[in-house]
Amino acid sequence: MTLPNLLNHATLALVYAGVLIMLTIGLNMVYSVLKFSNFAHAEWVTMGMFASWWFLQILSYILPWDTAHLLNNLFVHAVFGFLIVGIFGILGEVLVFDRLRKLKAGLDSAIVASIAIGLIVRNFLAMVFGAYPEPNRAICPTCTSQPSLPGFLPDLNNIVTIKLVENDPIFGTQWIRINASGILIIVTSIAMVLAIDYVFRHTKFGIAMRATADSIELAQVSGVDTRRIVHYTWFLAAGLTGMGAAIYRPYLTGPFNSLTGLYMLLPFFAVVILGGVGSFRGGIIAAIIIAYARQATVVIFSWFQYPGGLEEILEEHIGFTITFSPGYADAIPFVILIIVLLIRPRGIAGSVEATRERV
Amino acid sequence: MKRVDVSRFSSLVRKHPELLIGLALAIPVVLLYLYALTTLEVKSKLLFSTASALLVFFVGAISLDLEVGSLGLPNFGKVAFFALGAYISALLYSVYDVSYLVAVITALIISSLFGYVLSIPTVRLRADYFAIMTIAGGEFIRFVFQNEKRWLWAPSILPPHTPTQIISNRAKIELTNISPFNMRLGDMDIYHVLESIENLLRIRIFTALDIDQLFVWEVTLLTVFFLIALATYWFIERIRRSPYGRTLRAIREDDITVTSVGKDVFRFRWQVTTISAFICGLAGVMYAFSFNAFEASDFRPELTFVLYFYVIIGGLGNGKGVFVGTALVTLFMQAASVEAVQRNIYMHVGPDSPLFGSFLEILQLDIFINPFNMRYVVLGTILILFLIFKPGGLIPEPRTDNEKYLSLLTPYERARSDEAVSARQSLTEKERLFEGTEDENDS
Repeated sequence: MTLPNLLNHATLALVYAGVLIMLTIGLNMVYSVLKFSNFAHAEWVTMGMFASWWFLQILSYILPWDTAHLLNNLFVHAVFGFLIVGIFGILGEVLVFDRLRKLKAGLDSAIVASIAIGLIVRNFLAMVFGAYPEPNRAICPTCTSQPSLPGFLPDLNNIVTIKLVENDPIFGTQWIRINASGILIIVTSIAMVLAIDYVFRHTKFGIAMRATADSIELAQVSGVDTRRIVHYTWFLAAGLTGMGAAIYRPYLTGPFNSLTGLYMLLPFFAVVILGGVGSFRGGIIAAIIIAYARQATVVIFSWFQYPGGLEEILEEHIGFTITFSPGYADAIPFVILIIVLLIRPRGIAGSVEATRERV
Repeated sequence: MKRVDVSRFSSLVRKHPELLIGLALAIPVVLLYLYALTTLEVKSKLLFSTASALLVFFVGAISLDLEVGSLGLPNFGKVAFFALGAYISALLYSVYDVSYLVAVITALIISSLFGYVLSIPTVRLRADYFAIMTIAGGEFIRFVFQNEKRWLWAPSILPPHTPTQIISNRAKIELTNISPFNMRLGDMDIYHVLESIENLLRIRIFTALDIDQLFVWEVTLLTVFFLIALATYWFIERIRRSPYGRTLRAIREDDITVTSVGKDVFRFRWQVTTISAFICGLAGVMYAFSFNAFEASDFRPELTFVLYFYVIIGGLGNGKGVFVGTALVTLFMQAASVEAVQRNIYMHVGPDSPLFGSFLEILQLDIFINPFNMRYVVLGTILILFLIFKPGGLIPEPRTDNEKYLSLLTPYERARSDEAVSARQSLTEKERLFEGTEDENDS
């Protein structure tokens, strides 16, 4: 019995953890400052992907000479994603959440409103960009077939492969294979967390934000313009998510559509709750735990399905078995959520017990 | 004569301002629906699908309303119970050859069990965590149905009979083929009796709507659905009027006070979740009849969101409001799915369009306005507008009149009670969560 390619799985999980870290910073910020879970967060991710893709289309059209990718590169797209999604974040606050808060509507209304915003944005994006990003006139011909696009400063499709063992009778094949995009995701995610953590702890703005998170009234008494802080929080949270989505996009192997973000919503919430609301460093640990638990499920469950695996053993000895499909990996966040909420509702590093406020 | 009517209407509007909003929503929707009807050749097809969708979703929505409206638990995993009801009843009947009644009862038991199991760890959580957990629960059920190929997949109809995700709904296929049910209503004697009565009264509704083209099974199904919906409505209104329902409303408003008078809030919460899961499972069994075959991806979280449209537009916490909301949204959705309406809504705004063509060329935009996405945009916008401007919905929950009890108190006791109420209110969850917004208004 040879081992599966564990190192490769570990690398995949590491990149997935980076994606989760990058995309949950915004959710965590909104959670900790505004004390409600923003279900429209999933649509910010989708919107960031579409916005950066769209900007690529525009730039390839108006700057056809830019073959060296001086302007038409991933970082410019990411900044564009930051601005667009950030503006939408503020719009959501001004148009909906601010009014709801003034009405003293309950938490339920805020949740329903955020879900409705998500629904509107998702379907709007599907209308504007089509269900799949396929323009009918291909300006950059590879854009339609492959979302991981040309010209991200160094070519992001460069694959680094380190082979440790090959066709060994016991260890099988073990390699680390990661492309430049994956490395970029890991680096960016760590950099983002450190930067935000620094902003939250050591700058005046971040301290005002944390004061607002603790108690709006006390912050106002101390002379903090909480309204401005709330707006900045939305802008930063949405913008960072859009930027993260723009950086995540070239890593995708298939085309993305308007539902891509929605499918990642549960892992996002699992990361924030496991890591602890308001703690970005806890989020790193949580993202790594969840990504590895997910990948481990894939490995173990597909191992159960091999000839001679658990399924066959159960079938032989008990005469009854269930399917251990690797598809269950997507349900791992659910299991983790239940365990966390039952055992330690404040998460790994959360200081405020925000989860249990009911009798 | 006319002036009297207008003044009566305006006084009515002044008394019930939601009537105007209701009319503003209902008139375009009904007009759109009538337009959709006129474009069809066989009108009864649309009528049947509208009526069955209305009844199925009414049962689902009223079970959601029991949780959200009466108890304040925003359950976003309703789709799980739809899936359980539909899947298990269809699977047991068509794959495992159990009699249909047993299959339905098993489906209902399993879905209420799942409701109970899901409620145990979740009902103590704050509203948004409850929402996350229920969404996750709904997705979990979908994963199970998608992946468990040994037990929950059905052998395909074509010869190799390998298991596929697609479950063919044998109950519906059989129902449409058994002898009295597979006839058209126009071939039955009773229809001609009805038609002659109609002719006597000189109305032509039956002919105008092609009622004779309806199948007998469709009429039977609608009758059964109607009875189920009526029974559910009656049951839930009964719960609401009972002392049990009053306790539920008290928990929704302020669970700490209810605990302090010795009620076990947790018990009430899991009981209601289980009852609601049972009813929603029933809606799932009914929902299966709208498909000849279905698969796990038919049960996406969107289904739950649609239920929220019904409940919030109609009005939380009362069956009438839920019915009005369901009727309006279903009419709109069904009208939007008719081909002629779709063709009118469909629009392509791209670089080749005459108006902003060159502008869109630079922006590289190809906008496909299509009814499928457009209806969700419209409904989502209406939902948010309702949340902001009319949180009670079209038909708000009737307020309980406490005056008759309070008038029995002495003035001193009355003052004490008012004081207690206002002191308590300042500590409720809403205030704790959204504190400080008044100060923003002031500044």
